[in-house]
Amino acid sequence: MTGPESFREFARTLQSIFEGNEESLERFQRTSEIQLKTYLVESNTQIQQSRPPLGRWRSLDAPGWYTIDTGRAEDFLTVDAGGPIWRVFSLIEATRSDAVIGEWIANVRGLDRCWLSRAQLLHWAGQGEWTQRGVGIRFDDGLEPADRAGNFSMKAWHGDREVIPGIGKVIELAQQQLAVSSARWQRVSGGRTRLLAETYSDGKITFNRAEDVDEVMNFSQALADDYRERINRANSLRNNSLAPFEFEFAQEISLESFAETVGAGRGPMRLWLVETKQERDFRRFRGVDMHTWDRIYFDLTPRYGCLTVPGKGCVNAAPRIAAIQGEDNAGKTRVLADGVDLFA
Amino acid sequence: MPESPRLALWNKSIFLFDLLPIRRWEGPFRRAGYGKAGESPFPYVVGREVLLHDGQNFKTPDLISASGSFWVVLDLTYFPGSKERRLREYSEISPRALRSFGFPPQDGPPILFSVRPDRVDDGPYPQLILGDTLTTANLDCCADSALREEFERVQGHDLRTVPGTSITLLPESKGPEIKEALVPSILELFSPERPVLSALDMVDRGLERLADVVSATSKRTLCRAVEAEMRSLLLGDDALLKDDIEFAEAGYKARGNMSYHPNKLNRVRRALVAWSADQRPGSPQRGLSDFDPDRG
Repeated sequence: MTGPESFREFARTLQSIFEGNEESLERFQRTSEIQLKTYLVESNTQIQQSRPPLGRWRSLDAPGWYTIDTGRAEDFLTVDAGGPIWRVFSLIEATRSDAVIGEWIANVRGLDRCWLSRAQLLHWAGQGEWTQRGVGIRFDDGLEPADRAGNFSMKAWHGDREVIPGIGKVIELAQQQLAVSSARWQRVSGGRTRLLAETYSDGKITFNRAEDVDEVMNFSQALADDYRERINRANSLRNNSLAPFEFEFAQEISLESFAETVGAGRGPMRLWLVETKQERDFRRFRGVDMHTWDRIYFDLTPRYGCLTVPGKGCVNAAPRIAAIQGEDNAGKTRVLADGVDLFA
Repeated sequence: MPESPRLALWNKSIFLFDLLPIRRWEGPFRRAGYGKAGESPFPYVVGREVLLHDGQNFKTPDLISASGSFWVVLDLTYFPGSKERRLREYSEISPRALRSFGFPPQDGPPILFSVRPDRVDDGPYPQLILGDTLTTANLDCCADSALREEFERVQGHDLRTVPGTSITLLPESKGPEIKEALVPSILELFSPERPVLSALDMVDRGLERLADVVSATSKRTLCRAVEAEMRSLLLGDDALLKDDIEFAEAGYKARGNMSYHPNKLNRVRRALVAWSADQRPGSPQRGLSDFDPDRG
């Protein structure tokens, strides 16, 4: 077996990693153990019916918990599949872990990432013991040719002191105009760091430090529960009315470039759309979302969009398009449903 | 692709109930309290069969909604003649029918709205004229003064770019409308799972929540129309997607292994744009559409 034999062993393994890292930090100013990654996955399937990312599934002695067996000790991966939002806990080396999980989600029908909005990434702002310790900004300008693209990316992790005066203003300015792709949060209580974690717009959490495995469980569970409630609400609004999801873009998008891109299914948005109506500064598109092959309808102006997910299509498309399009070409993007900032 | 005028009328009617803060719009029905969240589970219901006062007969109006004090029935039409008689029939709908949809209970008769793209005399009923802009007629016949005020407030509003809805087919849809509605279903055929979609599957996808309420006869008519349009796309030497989609026993299916190379996807897109640009029902393609950005 590769994975833990029991849920308790899984929890003990994580705890020993956290404790090992704390000791290493104290002695050597760096961590020594691999950092835990947790991926939030939106699921419309049953875990037993889905292909595992590696090896074979094996259930643990806790309802809804599974691990994988591959015969390789480095393939430590455990899944909480007890609800519609799965939490995938991975101790696989970071680069390989992202590739394995990414391939799994892309190729198993019924799985999608949880696409965390700016507000969800910045959720702990102003809350008690939490301090923001960094932000990631990304703008690929993906609708422009590479040579003319005004792309920008920044991952600004920082500590307690502003070592460059005024750098905070630069970060704030970028945050206002462009998409937030990640954030880093620290919880300090009783003078001790209880948790230091990075959250990413594609639903990944990296736990840099944790005093206790409960901190990790609570942090990831809170995000998962919050996401599930938002998706449920989006579903309800979609099912009960014909109103679309509204998008607002901070960066003006070129409708011509968008039409060319989605007409060929290019780019990270993975939309394959046919233009069916054209007015000055307005286009209507109908087609499919190639993440799920659900039908979608998209009305666009340079600063504004309306997305319809018909039938039983997964409304996860709304936060996904907002996140990806925001980082690729639209900058800071808001999503409203029936007037409610659903993913705020 | 010219937009379907029937669907445009539906989209504009639904727009009157929408709350779209980013485009600074709150529809007049919504502002007047119709379909208010917390008072009813739905802002409106479309195409549902409802009981008449006689307790035996039914009607299927296009749209029903209710506020705390009034309820409305909307009849959407392109019919060039007067719909006065149909509207009068809707006055026989029992307010008890609202209970089936969770609307607030009502006592009196409905406010009957005629909804059209152009002005036609439909008798003494308030009329919403939803062309490029929003205008009204006979608003004084609307018993709800709050609703009257809201419509007066939005007179002249530009309706050219209202959002589409998930309904892309109507029972009376014809050639070009059907082609436009088929586009996403045709793209869906190319998914890795290679689904087989029958004409009925495609019709139901387009009708969306109307699929359960449209008559079997209307669906059969739509299926025949879908089959005719698909034949123009798949059969004949000039058929644009004859090498990409085949008609299997149970329906339509993408051929062979699909490459998702952008060139392939773009070719399929261009084919659908060209096919849809031809407005003759069941006609073969004539050339690239004016809407094709790659033309030339």
